Amino acid sequence: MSTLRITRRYLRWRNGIALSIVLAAAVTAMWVTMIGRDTVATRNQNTASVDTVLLSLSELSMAFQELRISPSSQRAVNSRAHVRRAAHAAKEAADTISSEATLKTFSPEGQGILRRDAMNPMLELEDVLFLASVAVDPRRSQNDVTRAAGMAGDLAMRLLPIFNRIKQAELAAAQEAADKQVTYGIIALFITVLGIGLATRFVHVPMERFVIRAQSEIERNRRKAEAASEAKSMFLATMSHEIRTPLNGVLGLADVLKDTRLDSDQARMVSMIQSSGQALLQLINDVLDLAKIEAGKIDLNLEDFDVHDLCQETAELFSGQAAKKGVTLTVHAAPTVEGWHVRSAPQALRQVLANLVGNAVKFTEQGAIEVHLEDITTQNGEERRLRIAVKDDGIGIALSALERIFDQFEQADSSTTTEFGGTGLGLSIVQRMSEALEGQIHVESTLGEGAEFVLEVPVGRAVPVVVETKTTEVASFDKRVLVADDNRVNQLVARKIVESLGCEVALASNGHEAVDMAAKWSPDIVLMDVRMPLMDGLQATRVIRADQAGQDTSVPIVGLSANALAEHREEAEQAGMSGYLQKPVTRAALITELLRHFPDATTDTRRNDTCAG
Amino acid sequence: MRGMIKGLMATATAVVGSLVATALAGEGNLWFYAWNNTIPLEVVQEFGERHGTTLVVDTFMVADEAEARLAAGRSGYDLAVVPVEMLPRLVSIDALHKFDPEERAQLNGSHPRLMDRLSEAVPMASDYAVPFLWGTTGVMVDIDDVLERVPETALNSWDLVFNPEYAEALSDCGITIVDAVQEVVAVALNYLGRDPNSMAEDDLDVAFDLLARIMPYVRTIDGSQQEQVLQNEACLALTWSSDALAPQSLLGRDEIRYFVPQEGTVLWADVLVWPNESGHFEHSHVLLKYLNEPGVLAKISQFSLALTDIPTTHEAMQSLDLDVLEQIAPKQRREQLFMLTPRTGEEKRILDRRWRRMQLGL
Repeated sequence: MSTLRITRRYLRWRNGIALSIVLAAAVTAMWVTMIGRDTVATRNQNTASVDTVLLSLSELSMAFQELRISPSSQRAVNSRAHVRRAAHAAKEAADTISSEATLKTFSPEGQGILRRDAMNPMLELEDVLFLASVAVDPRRSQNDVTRAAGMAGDLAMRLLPIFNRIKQAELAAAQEAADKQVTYGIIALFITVLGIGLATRFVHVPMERFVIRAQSEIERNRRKAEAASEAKSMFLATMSHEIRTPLNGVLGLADVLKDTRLDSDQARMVSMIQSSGQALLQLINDVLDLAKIEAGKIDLNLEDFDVHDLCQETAELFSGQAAKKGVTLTVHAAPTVEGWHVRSAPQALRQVLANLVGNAVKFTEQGAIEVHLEDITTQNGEERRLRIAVKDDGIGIALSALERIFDQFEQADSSTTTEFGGTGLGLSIVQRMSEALEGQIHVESTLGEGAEFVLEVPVGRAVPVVVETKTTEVASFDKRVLVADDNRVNQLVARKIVESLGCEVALASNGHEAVDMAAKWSPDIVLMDVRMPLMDGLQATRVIRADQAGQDTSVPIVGLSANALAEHREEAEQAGMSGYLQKPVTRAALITELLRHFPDATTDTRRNDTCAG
Repeated sequence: MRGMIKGLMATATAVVGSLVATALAGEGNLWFYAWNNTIPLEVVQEFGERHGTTLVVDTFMVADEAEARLAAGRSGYDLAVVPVEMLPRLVSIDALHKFDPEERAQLNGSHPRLMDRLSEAVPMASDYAVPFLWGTTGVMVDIDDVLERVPETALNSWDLVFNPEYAEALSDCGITIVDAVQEVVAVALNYLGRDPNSMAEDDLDVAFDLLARIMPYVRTIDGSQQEQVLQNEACLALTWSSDALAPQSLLGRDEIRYFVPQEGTVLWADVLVWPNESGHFEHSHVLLKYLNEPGVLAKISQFSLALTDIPTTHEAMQSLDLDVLEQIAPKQRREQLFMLTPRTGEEKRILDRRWRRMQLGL
């Protein structure tokens, strides 16, 4: 974020400089051009003023001449008028020229003449105008008029070449200014080009480099982050596999142990082993889920299912805990026209709901927890939308915590962990799952007054089917089962479960043995661990399938693996496995799998733990 | 007008083309700016014959006219004649070139006494000027007319001009004064016993006061005194020796005389100057050399009735009546002759304005 700010500031600053340089260049160019223009304009104006003086002086000398020759004639009246008019024009022009502001604008040569001491044209012009005023004064004697006109005429004549010289100087300066204008134009162009050059050299090029460098750095970091993320996912997947394997043993054996004859203390301890193991498993599953989500590998297997049943099943999972705390846990389904049979990803949905209900139970000490299922499909909506709300009377969430409770490893406050336990991953998973389902999750809560988590999710329309529930409660098999697993504990777990179902069991420790046994012993089904030394389960499966090629029937091979990623399941199928069980393998899951392969073995008789053969 | 007017000899703006094109051919005319009626036609013609080009003589009648023309610049004159006291003003506005001292030395065998006075009055003359013609300022009279009205006068004093009684008596036959304010004020101050070159306020007041008193009886103030006296429009003129001597010397009009008043008067000097931005460098040198040739100078001296400063020309000047020479600067009055101190532009303007206002009775 701060890097971004720095980048923005850098770019703005640089851009500002570039624009300033170009702007300054343009303004300077304009200014340079204006100087030239002003000079030419000034010259023209000055020349015009001097021209007026010249014209007036000419008129004056002619009028003075007439006055001198015949001061009292009829024509003299006219001459006086000429003198007055010309003197007025000359006076105005002279006033303009003699003002310091104008004087400054004359060419150096013009100024030299206008300011000089000897034969100063402006001062002499003053005298001409003074004499003119005498010459036209009607109170003056004829003699005075003659004399004044004579003197003024002589003086005016003398001034003509001087003013003409000033005019020549101004014209020459104007010509020079016009020539300079071209130079100014070239200078202006040069300044502009220089400005652009400077901006390019010192701003745009470095800026370009900076942006490219920044981009490549971003790209590098992105790759690094991706690699790190991948490594993390790999690590988590591996770790969870490594933990699941022994956990499989613990839980499996506890499961088996529970069915043996135990006194009450032992039974309680086994139960505690089971619940602790389950808690650990849950944690591992959570971490793995999150890893899967982050790696973009959420397993969204779309199926048709009854969402109301799903809600109830999930609630039932927690009903025991709730009952212990004296909290009522109920599921309410609003009436719906289309029924609750939908097409979606039940695993994901179940996971979301389980997390929400689990949390509700965890944080509610008394009162009620209600799961509301509602069909919020709009009337003209193409897709169905469901709203599942989990409302509790628990401790609630502080306003300040609401925003971050969906973040990883975040709980409402740090004391929560101490008091209630948990990883802080649940809601994060919930949110990611919801997003994966294209739904939205949000929460409303007041501290101390409970919370309501609401999931709104689109679902597909399912093909209505009559669901036949199968019982797995009681089953008996008379089958030859080959268990291939390199881990002795896992071998034992599998063997115990299968034996308890009445089957005959043979063991193999690696792929080679499994292939041999499959050929020699002719099992009815093979439980094949995927990861084994010498030859792994996948390879062994391929070999067995190759051996059996051409036979009418092929033996079902069920893969067993602690590896929970979906791609492993696909890999197993490609190798020729007929099923895939995730470790730790439970008795129930194994029975279900066996029933899938041998549906006829189902009996509705009472449970029979002994093997028929 | 320094010179003379005579129908046969009138050479105003003499332009004589030569048929023989030689040295200066193809470079256009040569221009010379001088007082009216000072350069004889034969001098002009001879130059044309010798150099195969035309010498154009442009003229002026009042010094101020020349000053204005030269001050305007780009006059195009290769050489010009001006009163020496004008020199500093023209130099101050950068209107003149300096002469090469070596070239100038070759030209000048100046009359020591006159040259000393010239350098004393205008130091920069040695750089910018080549002495040309000399003369005095005095009184020109039509003896018959004057003596008829003022019988008691001895025709030797400025009284005849500055005494209002005489002026009044002479007003009917005409008084004319040369339009040269500095000279007129100087002789007035000198007449009043004051420093002729003073610019002190009270001195000027007194001088202009004196002039104002005779002003009602003055007919004209201009540059054509000779013409007015010859045509009987005036019987008394305050003017230059060169102007005043012509009628008697050249026309034989004995009744028209010139005298240098005993109180003393102005010794004037006209000098050759080299206007800035003149046409051709070479022209100026050729013309300068030509005008300073003893023979040429003698002709000019005789024609203009002014003194030249080169002793070697005296022989050539034998035709110039010694009496005339004596009239220009009488031996017994040479000590009373003074030269004008140059005036700055500002001082000149003060004088000009008072001069004009005085003429209008203001």
